[in-house]
Amino acid sequence: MSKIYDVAVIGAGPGGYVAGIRAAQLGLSACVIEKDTPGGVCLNWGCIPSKSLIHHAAEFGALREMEAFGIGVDRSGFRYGEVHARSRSAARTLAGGVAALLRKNEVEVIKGTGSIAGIGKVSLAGAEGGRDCVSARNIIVATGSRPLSLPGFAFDEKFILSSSGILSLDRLPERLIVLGAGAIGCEFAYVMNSFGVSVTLVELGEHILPAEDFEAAQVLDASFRKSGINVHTKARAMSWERADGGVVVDVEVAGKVERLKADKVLAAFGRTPNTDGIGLESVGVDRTVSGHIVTGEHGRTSVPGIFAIGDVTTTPALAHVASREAEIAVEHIAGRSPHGAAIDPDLVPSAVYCEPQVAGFGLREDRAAKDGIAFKKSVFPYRGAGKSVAIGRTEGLVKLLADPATGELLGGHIVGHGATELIHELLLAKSSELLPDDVVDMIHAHPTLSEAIAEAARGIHGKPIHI
Amino acid sequence: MIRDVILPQLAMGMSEGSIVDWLVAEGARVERDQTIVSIETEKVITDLPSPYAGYLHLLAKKGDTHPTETVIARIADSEDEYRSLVSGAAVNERSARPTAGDSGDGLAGSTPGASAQEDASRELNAPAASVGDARKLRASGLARAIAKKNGVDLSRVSGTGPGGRIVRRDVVAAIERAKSTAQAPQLRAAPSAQGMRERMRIPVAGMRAAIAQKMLAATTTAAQTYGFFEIDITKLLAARNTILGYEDELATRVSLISFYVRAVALACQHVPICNSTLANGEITAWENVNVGVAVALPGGSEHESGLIVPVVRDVQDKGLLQLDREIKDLVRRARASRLSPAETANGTITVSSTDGFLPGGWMVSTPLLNLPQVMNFQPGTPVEKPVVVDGKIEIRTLLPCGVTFDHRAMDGEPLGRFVRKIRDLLANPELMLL
Repeated sequence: MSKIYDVAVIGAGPGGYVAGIRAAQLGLSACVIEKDTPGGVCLNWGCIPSKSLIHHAAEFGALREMEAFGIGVDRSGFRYGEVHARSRSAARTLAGGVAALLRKNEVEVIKGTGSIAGIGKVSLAGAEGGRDCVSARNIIVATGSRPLSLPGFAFDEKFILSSSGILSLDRLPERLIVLGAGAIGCEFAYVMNSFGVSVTLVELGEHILPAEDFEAAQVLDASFRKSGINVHTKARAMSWERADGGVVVDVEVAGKVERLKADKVLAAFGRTPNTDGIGLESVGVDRTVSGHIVTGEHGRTSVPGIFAIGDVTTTPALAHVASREAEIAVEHIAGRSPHGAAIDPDLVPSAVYCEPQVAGFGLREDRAAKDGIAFKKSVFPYRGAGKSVAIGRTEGLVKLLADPATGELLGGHIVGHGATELIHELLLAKSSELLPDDVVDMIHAHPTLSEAIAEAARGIHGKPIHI
Repeated sequence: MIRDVILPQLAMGMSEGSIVDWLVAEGARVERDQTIVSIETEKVITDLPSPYAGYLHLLAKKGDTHPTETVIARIADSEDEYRSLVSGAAVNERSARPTAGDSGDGLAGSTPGASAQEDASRELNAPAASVGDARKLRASGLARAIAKKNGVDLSRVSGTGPGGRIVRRDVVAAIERAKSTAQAPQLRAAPSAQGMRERMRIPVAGMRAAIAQKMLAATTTAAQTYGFFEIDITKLLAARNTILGYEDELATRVSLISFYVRAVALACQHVPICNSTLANGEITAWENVNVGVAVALPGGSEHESGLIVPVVRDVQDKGLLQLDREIKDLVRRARASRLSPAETANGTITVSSTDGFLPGGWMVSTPLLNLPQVMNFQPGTPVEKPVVVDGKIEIRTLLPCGVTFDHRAMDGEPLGRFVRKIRDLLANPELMLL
């Protein structure tokens, strides 16, 4: 009971478990406190199960291509329940994997609900063996986030679903309204539409994927409309009511109220940090009005000895951001600093996994115009790369924004097949300070989609060959 | 979005600046890189560009003096946000901190003006490097592009990127250094009377001014008293050699300075008065032993030289390996002008090693105190000497040491205990295990 850990981590998501493992690797004694299953939302109710669904949705959609070759496919035996079961099994496998990694690195996992009781002290509720607190020289808050609920659309998980709720469905609705066309909204709109659900996508902003580059989002928008998704942008969901066993949602579009009918609604307005009820106020950790924890260098909070990483902070709510912040904080605690003091937001990739995929980093053209940042732009369409024609994936483009004086890559955006993997060539170029000419100089294998990246880079200073 | 404009630290040692004048009016729409304010720092007046485009809300008044990092204005993206800002309703979303030498994405903005560029060329341009040289040079594409644009000779820039590669921040730092040392454009003097010809004139400004002021304060306000002694470090060198045998595993060549810093911290715990500060009529002895490590910033000619003292915090709690890593990191960043003001603050004692830049055979000099600290320890360059051991003459390695203390704060007796302790520790390094 008297043991004092070097690091106690509250939450075992992609921030928390990485913090625990890295701490152990650096020779620190560490424990991770988790009330649920290791892996957090990412692994259990987010990234991983949704990617399983998306993969099967894409395969299901590909059946149509087979039909073009005269292969009749009988879909009558299709059981969504099995698809759902597969996604749960993927989540279980990986959660088991995380637990094993923690064990292997001798990170103590304490099952229970942790909350800060004072500097260096975390109290436990519901922990095994009646353990009621742990002491630690450093506490890392990694409690993550949950779906944001807006007034009028509180989750009942029957009619108004959260992203976790829709991942629990083992039967498909016939009609679905998706409120919010961010990454989560777009991914589920794609999945459900691919499985034959009639989908309406409602976005308040100017375009779908409001966080992404306008031009990239337009490609996905066109693809969605072509595949039968009903897309409304600059549309505000006002209210909903139950009707005929389903729902009716009033949506204001261009000054007129439309009554949209469906069986269920997915409310994907964003995420809100889990920073209540974890004892932050007991020691006076500063938070923003939105409830995010204010952090400085190395994830330090306003209270010495308490760090915060991942979705509870103001940085982008992405698993890969949480994991890197975990490393930064733990390395700092161990007296090292190999990754700098904070993540550089311009070097964080975003990734949307529908088909076509959308991925990007750094400057967006609309942002540049607003901030008065000078840039040189190059856009190369997927169809200019032979591979895309051969595999029938010509929807898409690679877009680069570069500094007109130095050629520095300011932003990179890819929409199209495989975009979330392809983006890393550009991101490595950016983070290693390579210039577009360096990317051009590297010989790209033919035929690949990566050739589109080389061509876009060529477009910054010269002319692409294949357009 | 509403973002902060801060008073940046324009030169090392700069702790505050005054607003000479705002060059735009409250509420005006400004473009990125548009000049918005004149700042006066230790005898230099600098115009600052706006880090963002937007609507400007002035916080600091003309004539005000503020510490660096103070928010002096805010910039709102839209007129709506500006109105809410002025009415006090807006919440600051994220403060961005542009600092000299690391201008984030604002490279175009940190381009030196024409005259500064000329000076930078004079400083940095060497005769064109041979092809062989250019091939050996490791620099990122972006670093090369910025260097080319600003006329920086990369062969004179040291790299801090992966594997010692020259990256953007190194080139930007070189440009900034050239700018700050070229602050005196009227240096070339005409021949004057009596046959005297000026070689150059160096303004006492920026870091030079900060050093001048601190050094003068040390000699005029403190009762500096000096002591000199030698330590037989033959065994310490042997111990270090053993450690160097594990260099690959440790991923570092543990340097002698790390042993000195560690020994100073242990001696301070033994004689706490040595680890104190004297200010405002009070002597404060500290629990933390925060050891300042004086770092010489060498230059090609005398007026480029500089001195900065980054601080290793809580040395008493740290092992040799960690000290070694931290010291190397601080020294590297000190030389790249990448220290934050906090990293040179709150030292409680200083170690000023002269090993490495004063020639061998040099004994010691009399280090000046780093006020308000009361002690400065100066290990010199180890030298082999004949020494009488058990009645026989042996060749041993001796470390000449100097120590300066403030006789206002302490007396000779504790100094004696401190010196004995540090000598015991460095002569018998196994004592540092205790």
